[in-house]
Amino acid sequence: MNTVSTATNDAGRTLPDPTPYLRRRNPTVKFTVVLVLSLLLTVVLDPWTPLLLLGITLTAGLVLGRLHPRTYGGALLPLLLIGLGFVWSNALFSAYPDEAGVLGHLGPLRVSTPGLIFGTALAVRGLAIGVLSVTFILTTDPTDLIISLIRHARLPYRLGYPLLAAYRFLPFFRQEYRQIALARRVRGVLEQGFIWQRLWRRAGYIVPLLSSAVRRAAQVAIAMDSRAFAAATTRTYYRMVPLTPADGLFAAAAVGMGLAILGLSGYLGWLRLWDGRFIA
Amino acid sequence: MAKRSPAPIPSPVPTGEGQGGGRSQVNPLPTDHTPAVHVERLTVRHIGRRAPALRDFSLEWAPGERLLLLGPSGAGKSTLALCLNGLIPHSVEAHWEAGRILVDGQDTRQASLGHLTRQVGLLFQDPESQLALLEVDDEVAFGLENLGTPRPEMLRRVPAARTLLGLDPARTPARLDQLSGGTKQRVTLAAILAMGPGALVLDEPTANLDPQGTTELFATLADLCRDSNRSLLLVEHRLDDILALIERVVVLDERGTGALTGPPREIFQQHADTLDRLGVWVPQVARLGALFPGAKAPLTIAEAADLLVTSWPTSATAAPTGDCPSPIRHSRESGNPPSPAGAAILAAEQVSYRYTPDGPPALAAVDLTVYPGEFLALAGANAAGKTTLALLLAGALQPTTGRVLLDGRDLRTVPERDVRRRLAYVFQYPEHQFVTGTVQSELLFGLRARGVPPATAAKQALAALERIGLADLAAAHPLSLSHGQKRRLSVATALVTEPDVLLLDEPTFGQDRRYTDELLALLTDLHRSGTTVVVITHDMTIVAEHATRVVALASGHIVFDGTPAALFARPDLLTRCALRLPPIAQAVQQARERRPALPAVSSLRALSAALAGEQPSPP
Repeated sequence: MNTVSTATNDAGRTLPDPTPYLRRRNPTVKFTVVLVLSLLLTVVLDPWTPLLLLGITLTAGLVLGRLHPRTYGGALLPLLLIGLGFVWSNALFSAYPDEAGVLGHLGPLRVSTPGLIFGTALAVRGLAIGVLSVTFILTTDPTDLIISLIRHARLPYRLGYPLLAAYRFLPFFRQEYRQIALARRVRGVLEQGFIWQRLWRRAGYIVPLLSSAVRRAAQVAIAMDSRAFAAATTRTYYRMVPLTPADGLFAAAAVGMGLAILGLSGYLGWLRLWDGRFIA
Repeated sequence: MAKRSPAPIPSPVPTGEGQGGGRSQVNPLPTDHTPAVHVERLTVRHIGRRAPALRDFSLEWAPGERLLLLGPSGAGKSTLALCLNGLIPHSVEAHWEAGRILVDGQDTRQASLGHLTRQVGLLFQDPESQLALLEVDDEVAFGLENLGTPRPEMLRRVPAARTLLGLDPARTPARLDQLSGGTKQRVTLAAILAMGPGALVLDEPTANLDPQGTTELFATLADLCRDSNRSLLLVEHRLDDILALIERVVVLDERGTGALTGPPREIFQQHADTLDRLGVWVPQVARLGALFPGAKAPLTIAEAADLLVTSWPTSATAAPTGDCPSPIRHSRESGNPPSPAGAAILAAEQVSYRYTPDGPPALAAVDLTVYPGEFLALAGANAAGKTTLALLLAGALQPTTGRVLLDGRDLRTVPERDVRRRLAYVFQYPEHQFVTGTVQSELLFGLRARGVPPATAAKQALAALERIGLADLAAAHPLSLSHGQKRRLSVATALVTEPDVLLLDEPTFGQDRRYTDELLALLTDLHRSGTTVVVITHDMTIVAEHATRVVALASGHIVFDGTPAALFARPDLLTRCALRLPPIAQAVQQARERRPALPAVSSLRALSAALAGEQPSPP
């Protein structure tokens, strides 16, 4: 996926641009847009408004980001399951006193219509924020993001570069975790007992994982210092991450769209804003 | 930090956004300047240690001089490397107890790190933990960015450094996580050289590489040395390939004091005893010298071949062929796969394994039978499937298809406890294997699982600790040990349960000579006493000297199964599996082109046996 993003960093050479629109947008701008839209969503408590935004974000991701539906599916599945949990728990247990709202009974449990709607609203809102974040992550090169945050959002580079180095290590952790599990099995640590016993054993992985993380981090820090990291007062940048008027246009359009959805939803009478209470 | 250096990198100016161009330069990647380095009576002690790592050490490193630094582990080699480019004291804290280092006349403690890193570049051992970024170009540019190099200059230097190290953008993936270890080391070297240091310090750059990566990096080094007058200080133990580059050898003793210095010939020929005592690596071919009384130790493969041609006794009748590994359980001829001696102890039948359901198979329908008492080596390039096969044999992984048999019973039907009692596995990285909080309880853990009564277990654990020299550290946390100690402990935890089959993954990887010798002696003992040993190794010398049988893998398939000698006679397979002949075998091969009557063997032991056979009365 990085082969396309190199269009902007390949020694300043501009290739005939095959990069999807969303990938070409400045990461800091994209990040801000996602943040603003997510904040807007947090005050919305009806299911329709986030659903509209979710649909538009999905469409943008598929068309403007040329993302594959399956990629979305994989990333959103866990959120979908959590969302279902919200729907159920609110439908069954929301403190709604009025018998009028009762949709039906499930054994001793009572399913209330307002609870169902409220739960759905929470679920859809979570999903909408999820789709926004996933779209951002899948259309953004991590190096571009950090460089852009350093250059356009005043992230201190002494923080940004170690973040990148840490990001590089994430796959190692997965590998290391697998190795530790294998090694323990070979040593005769048997996989048996109750769930909590197994979990407790997993907790034992933390010490070797942390110890190797600390060792690696120290080694990388020394290697970075040996290439003069933070040794000079001025730092220059090889990779260019453009910030253009087109990014401003994108930001205005995206936030404008978010507000327009809120307006439309209000006009249609769907909109319900947070009033300080967290009940149906 | 203000600093002025003789380096031609222009002082930092606001980044230009131009498309390269600018000043024309004759040399696209200038070696800025080759510094003279003086180390004067240096004593440095690490924080929290009682003994200094370096003690009263002095070194004159002339501009352009190529040095080899040798010493046992813990002799302060890495400490010296850290001092030379100023990481000690600027980045790593340590007690600077006495002495000084002058780089071009400037004390490293006063000079800035930015200035020093442009004089002396430092490459570390582990390719994984010295890369900071995600893509090759960013990594190569990183040091230049840190120095505030203007972008037009970077646009010249980054491609130049890539070219210099053979990292053609058209053929090298942009993402670092897709590169092999050897290529990663070249990327780091490119990143260092882009900064233009005139002196290079390489601290065991091949210790974590497979044979292919090692060959690749050594070839790169040879090119660099030929094309420039950079100074070089190399800490390395695979000496047979690089000795030709070296002008002078510096040897540290275990106290961190300079013990010897001189040209390679003098050091390896006149001070062999000292080197042996210190447990310092010598070129493998140099050990041939000991076979012929009065002969000088050869330093290169060509010299070793000469020695064999001129000194091998002519009284030879029919030259014996084939290595004869020591405890012979099943006699076999060179070239033929081993004939079974009784029932198999372990067998893989049509075993395949995939790490992810839709990923490529790590192992594809492999058949392998392991007989009791074998010393079996598994060889092959990285990702050929060696470790996967060994883990399947040890019952740590379950085959995706096929089955593994222990004494004819499917491993899945054998109780886990019995499997663990009979098979022991030593991982490449010992850290993963520790399950308790103290060294002693690590050993007790295995004994308890075996059902040994507590009193006996305590006694056995103590005996094992004494054998591996860790009795003093019985109460220490396993992760607080040094790397060599961790390795010994992980081997001991596997041995204390007295398994029938011991599987080891790269047990000598990155270890010093003393540990390697000790471990191999231990494995030889175990093998003699009947334990079946299965070793994954890249080290063809171990294969030649110890293995009774070698199985070579390539891309998840077994491509060879037979004696080491038979494998070494197949150059096509060696290439395919990214293996190399051990230096002694190379020397014998070259010698046999001139004297075909020489025995076709590949190990020192076989040569010595053949020689003894021809000289019934040794001098």
